[in-house]
Amino acid sequence: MSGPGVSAAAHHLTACHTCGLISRHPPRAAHLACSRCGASLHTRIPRSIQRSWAFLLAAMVLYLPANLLPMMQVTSLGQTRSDTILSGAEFLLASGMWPLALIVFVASILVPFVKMAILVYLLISVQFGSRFRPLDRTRLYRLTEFVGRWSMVDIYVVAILVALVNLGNIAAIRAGPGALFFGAVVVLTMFAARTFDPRLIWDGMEPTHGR
Amino acid sequence: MAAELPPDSPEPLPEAVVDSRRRLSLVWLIPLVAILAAGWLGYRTQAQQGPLVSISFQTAEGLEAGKTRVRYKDVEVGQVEAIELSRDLSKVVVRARLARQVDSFVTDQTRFWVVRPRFSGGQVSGLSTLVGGAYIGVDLTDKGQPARAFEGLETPPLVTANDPGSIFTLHAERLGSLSVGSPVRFRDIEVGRVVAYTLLEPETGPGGVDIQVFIHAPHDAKVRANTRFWNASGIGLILDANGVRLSTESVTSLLQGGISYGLPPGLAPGPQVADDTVFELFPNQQAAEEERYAHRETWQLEFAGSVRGLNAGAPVEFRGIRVGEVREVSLELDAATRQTRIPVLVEIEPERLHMSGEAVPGPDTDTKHQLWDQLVANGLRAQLKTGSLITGALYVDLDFYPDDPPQQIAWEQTPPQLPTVPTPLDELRGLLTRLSRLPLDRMGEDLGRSLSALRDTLEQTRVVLQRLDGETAPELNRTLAQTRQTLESMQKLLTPGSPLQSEAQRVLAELGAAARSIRVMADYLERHPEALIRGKGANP
Repeated sequence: MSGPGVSAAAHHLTACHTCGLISRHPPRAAHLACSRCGASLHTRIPRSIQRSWAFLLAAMVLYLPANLLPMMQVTSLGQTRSDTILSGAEFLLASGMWPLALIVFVASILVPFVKMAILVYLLISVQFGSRFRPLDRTRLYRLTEFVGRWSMVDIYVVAILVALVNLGNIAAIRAGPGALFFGAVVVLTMFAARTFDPRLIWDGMEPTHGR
Repeated sequence: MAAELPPDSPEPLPEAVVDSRRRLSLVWLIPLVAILAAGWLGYRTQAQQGPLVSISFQTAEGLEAGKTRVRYKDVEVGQVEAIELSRDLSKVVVRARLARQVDSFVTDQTRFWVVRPRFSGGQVSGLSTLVGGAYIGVDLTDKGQPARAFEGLETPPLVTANDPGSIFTLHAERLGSLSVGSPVRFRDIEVGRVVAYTLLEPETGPGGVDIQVFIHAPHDAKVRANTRFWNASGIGLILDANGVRLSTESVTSLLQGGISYGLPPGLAPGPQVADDTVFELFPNQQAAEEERYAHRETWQLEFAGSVRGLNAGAPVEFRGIRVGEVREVSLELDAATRQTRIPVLVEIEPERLHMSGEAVPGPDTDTKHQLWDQLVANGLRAQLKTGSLITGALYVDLDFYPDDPPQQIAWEQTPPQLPTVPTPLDELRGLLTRLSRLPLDRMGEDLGRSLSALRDTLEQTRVVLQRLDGETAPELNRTLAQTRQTLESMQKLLTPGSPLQSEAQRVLAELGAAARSIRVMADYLERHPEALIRGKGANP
């Protein structure tokens, strides 16, 4: 599965992130500092799994209101309609603009959901020390990190429209409470992805792996 | 371990310092906050979840599920969640979720209606919905029992439950020009509106129309037990026994119609009344003010002649004082005898009589019978009289006719029948009938002929006169002159001292002497009748 070689952590060696000094550290030591510059030393992102889980759980909790609350309130000639993400996509589809509907659906619903699902899978697999296809799992992680920011498109669209369309009763767009939650979900999943240390996937491949 | 290091590794690596400070994992605050936020949202949604009500409408025009709002006093209190058809497709059932805070105000007296642009009763309403779209208006009230299913109103209610005021029911023969929204005025000030009217079925009640009016506080307190309501719509032109009357209200009433109310002049305000009290709606102000006496007695009158000109509502007067009115004039045909009769039903208000002495007798008591019997025995009769020469309207006059042959009240009739005397008009009519029997045509012809004969006679007379004038007159003059001469000569003869006169005087003296001697002789003869034979002897 894994290529030949050995990880630095397996040799209790850690490079300082600030000055690049490679230090030896005692096994099972929790908190290390660089002997040269005093920066915090860690072989892996500290409490990566725990923190990642925290962000992920928060994102999952907020995912519900983000989808249930209206994202955008459109006032057109005095008539106000407020749309959630799903009803907006529905409206676009009903209006015959299916490519737009597809974009909204993929960017705003599918991507955050898939991202959270992938992260959950990665976290669980790492926690249980899975040895299952670490390369593919790493690719999944990269995909997650790359695609995550595109979910923000929705937020940007709302932000731009709110600023652009502001003609009182004739036409006005306001951000709904859903936008706030949706933004929070996107940011939290990005944090979750950032705090997840993909090296942990490969640690599972070590004969004696530790944190 | 060191053997596994890269070969170009320098001398033994430095040991890292162990940092034994514990770090608080603050990151768990984030999901905590998220859970709190989501939980609070969920709780708020759940807590604000008010009652789900279903409202049925005739049409769902302008309503949209998930969009149409429910508003109370233009404040949003709910939202339409679904619009369905009723099971028999006759109605539209709108399901709306109301706010929790109005839960206790949703009762069976709560009313829902759709606010749309509307033009009615001279008023424009709901213009804002032209742009903003229709919404459902609700009138919340805490009266009544909690309810969840409602019948939506097709038109907005004129009166909401929170408006202070009272609703009264007016009973009228007909609606007239009133409609929902017609104003109710007190001394020409608008104080309320007609809110509803219902047609009464004649089978179940007296028939007519029940009109519900709402009068705002504090004017509703001016409605007392003896308050009169009247229809103040339009122009009233009345031709009756009292003459011609034209009555109009204010111009706005003329255009919109309306109801006025007030107390008849001279009446003290009665006791307060409860909501929903039923009043009678009089057709005009005059009728309302006349209708002052609650107690009425119905009598039947039968007149010999025509009753043309006698209408329901005509006054019944006693020597010019109104004591009641005619209620009905009808025609009856007796199937057995083939005879028609025209019973005239009159209502007499005995309260108009101010009795001195004993108490006023109540209805259907012996004292009342005695009283009326006594009155009729004294000659009380009803008579039709002409009230107005212009309109020819009749009225019923009560008066005493002591010379009329005695009659009785027919108590056995229902209603009892008062005796009547013929109308002066009837007598006049009899005279006219007799006049019409005269052969006026022939009389005319005769008269014409006589006149032409007279003309001929006059012509002849004129001719005669002309001749008289031309021929006879000079002759006559001469004759007259001769006559004068004759008279003059006669005068000469007769003047004292004339020979004729002295001669005559002498003759007369001679005649006197002769007469004396005859008398002497007669006397002598009387004493000495033998002298006729023996002659006159010597004086004894």
